[in-house]
Amino acid sequence: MTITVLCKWCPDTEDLEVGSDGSISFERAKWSISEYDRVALEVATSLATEVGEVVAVVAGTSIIDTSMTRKSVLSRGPDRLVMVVDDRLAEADARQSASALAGAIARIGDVDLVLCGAGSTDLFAQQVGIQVGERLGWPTLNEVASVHLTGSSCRVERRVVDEIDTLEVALPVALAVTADAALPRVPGMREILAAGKKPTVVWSLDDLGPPAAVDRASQVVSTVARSHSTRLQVLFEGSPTEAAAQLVGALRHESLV
Amino acid sequence: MDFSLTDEQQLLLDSFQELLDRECSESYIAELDRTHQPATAFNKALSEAGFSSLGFPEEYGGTPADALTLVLLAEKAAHQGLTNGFGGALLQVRDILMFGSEEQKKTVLALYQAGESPFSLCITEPGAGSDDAGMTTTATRADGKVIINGSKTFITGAQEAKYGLVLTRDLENPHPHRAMSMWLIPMDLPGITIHPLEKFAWNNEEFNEVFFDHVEVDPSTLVGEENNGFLQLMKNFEFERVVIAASVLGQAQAAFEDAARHAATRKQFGQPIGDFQLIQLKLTNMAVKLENIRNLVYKSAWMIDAGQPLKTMASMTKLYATQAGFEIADDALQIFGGIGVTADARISRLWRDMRLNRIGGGTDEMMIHTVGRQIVKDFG
Ligand SMILES: Cc1cc2nc3c(=O)[nH]c(=O)nc-3n(C[C@H](O)[C@H](O)[C@H](O)COP(=O)(O)OP(=O)(O)OC[C@H]3O[C@@H](n4cnc5c(N)ncnc54)[C@H](O)[C@@H]3O)c2cc1C
Repeated sequence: MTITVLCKWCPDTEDLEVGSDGSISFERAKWSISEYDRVALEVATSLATEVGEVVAVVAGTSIIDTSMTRKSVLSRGPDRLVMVVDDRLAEADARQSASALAGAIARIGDVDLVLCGAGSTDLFAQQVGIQVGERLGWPTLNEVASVHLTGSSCRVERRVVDEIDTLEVALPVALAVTADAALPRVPGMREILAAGKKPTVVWSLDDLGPPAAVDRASQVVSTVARSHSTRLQVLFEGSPTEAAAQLVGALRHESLV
Repeated sequence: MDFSLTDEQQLLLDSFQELLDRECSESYIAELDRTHQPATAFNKALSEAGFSSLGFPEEYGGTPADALTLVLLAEKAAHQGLTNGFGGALLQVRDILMFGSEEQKKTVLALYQAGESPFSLCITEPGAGSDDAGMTTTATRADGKVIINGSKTFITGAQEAKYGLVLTRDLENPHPHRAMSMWLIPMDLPGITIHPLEKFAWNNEEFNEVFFDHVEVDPSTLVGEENNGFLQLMKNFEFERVVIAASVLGQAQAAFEDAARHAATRKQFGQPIGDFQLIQLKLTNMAVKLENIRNLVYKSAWMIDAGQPLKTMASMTKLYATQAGFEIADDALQIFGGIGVTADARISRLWRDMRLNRIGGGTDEMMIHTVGRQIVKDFG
């Protein structure tokens, strides 16, 4: 059985700089695997100890094609890595990313399960996983809190508002897992050293056939930081019960509850 | 000259930061300080993530790592604000790896890898601090047993650790440095009393007086060769000094960052205090000192990895790092003003904790003694 995990290599939002005009710069940001995809990698790795191999798939411009990206992804458990490196993916929207990733999955072949995180750390569009499933023509679910493989199908728990749905879905399937579906491992030296020895292949969009390279569906006109509302900085004192009552009172006063 | 880190070092540091963010928050560290508790939970997490296997051979379940990598990790734990968070215990374990019996290696490594404190280092005595030749704790052989008598002081972690690595002296041998022996002794034996001493810093590590009153141990507790204890101890001293300096580097960086943030935001006379040149002078001097410490620490680690003799380099590094590091903490405290003195401000803890490094692990004066003597010898 082959499980693929979609991993986005993206700038760390904690490092973003907001200019006085609201402009956002990632220029000094450190790049790493999207936090949510680390959860997907962990879910995949724990499933794969029972059943088979995990292939990580990363797509992006030539900025991702470094030994650092490879080792970083591979140190988190997958057996091998497929990279789709193509500068046509610069500022890719969800449609472009999903096409490229679906193309890679088709080329890997015999994939039974695709896992991805809830969204990406930088954009959090929550679209790519769903669109990949759609392009592959597979059942696709998001908000998946747990996955159990049961032979030719899998049993998943979805968290929907106040209820937990348990579903049985035939494989192949694409799943976007919730941020708390697993606690991602912290790779140690052993995993990091082993990562350097695991296989990686690099494909361009042209290696994946025409459906992989699509045009952007939307154009970003501008991106500016939202202005922050001023914090009221109110401190509620007294016992926890009293403080809680004061907090609720204050929220009511502001018509927030 | 290449100052960049390898992918592996960078990734390991990223991983370590992830672990620190998850398991070693400032509130956790502050609580350890307030309640005088060791970082047990964090040590367990370190062990589970495999960090307690770093730096020793694979045949003992370890993952080899170079000195620079270990030093970088010690720096990072300290940058998080934790005192002696990484490196100290590992260095002790190396003493046993180099000189211990198979049995001793297994015992100590199993404890260390499980995230427990394997042993405390029992060297200093009330009458023998900087001058360890003045030591009077003895080990006497009688009826196939060894009897330990004497007392030790300022022994970090003696209550917590399962064993003590105890240095004794044969008082009849006129050459003190060829008269010391090293023993790995279980600390729960009859005749051993441990008495904690109150101190004002390093609250996450108690230190103690330890009394040995006719303590009977098996001869197999000897570590390495009899009368070779001092030379064995010296083997890891140099690396220890570099690790202490690396911890100072991390904490000095933390103090500097706290102070710089405060200077940029605290307003007096209608402007951020960072706009005043007197504050900028402090920040600039702090930044220069930080770079100097960093260069000394990394170069020392590089020398260890390159197999170059450190000679006096480790002492110069410890001397400069601990003095300049404390000056950085002191200037940081000054930049904070009154708020820096409160228990809630991290700088107050950093300032207290960083002061001790100028004494523990060999005093400033002893570092100067080592370096100065060598300089005169080299040019004599
Ligand atoms: C936080 C902390 C943790 C410690 N943990 C341990 C531990 O785990 N195990 C252990 O065995 N020990 C430990 N020690 C003890 C430490 O190694 C000693 O404190 C240190 O070696 C100095 O010895 P002393 O305190 O007896 O000072 P002394 O040797 O009495 O020195 C007092 C002063 O005189 C100066 N002085 C001494 N000789 C000379 C000289 N020749 N020339 C100029 N000046 C001189 C010293 O530099 C110092 O300023 C710890 C100490 C501290 C502070």
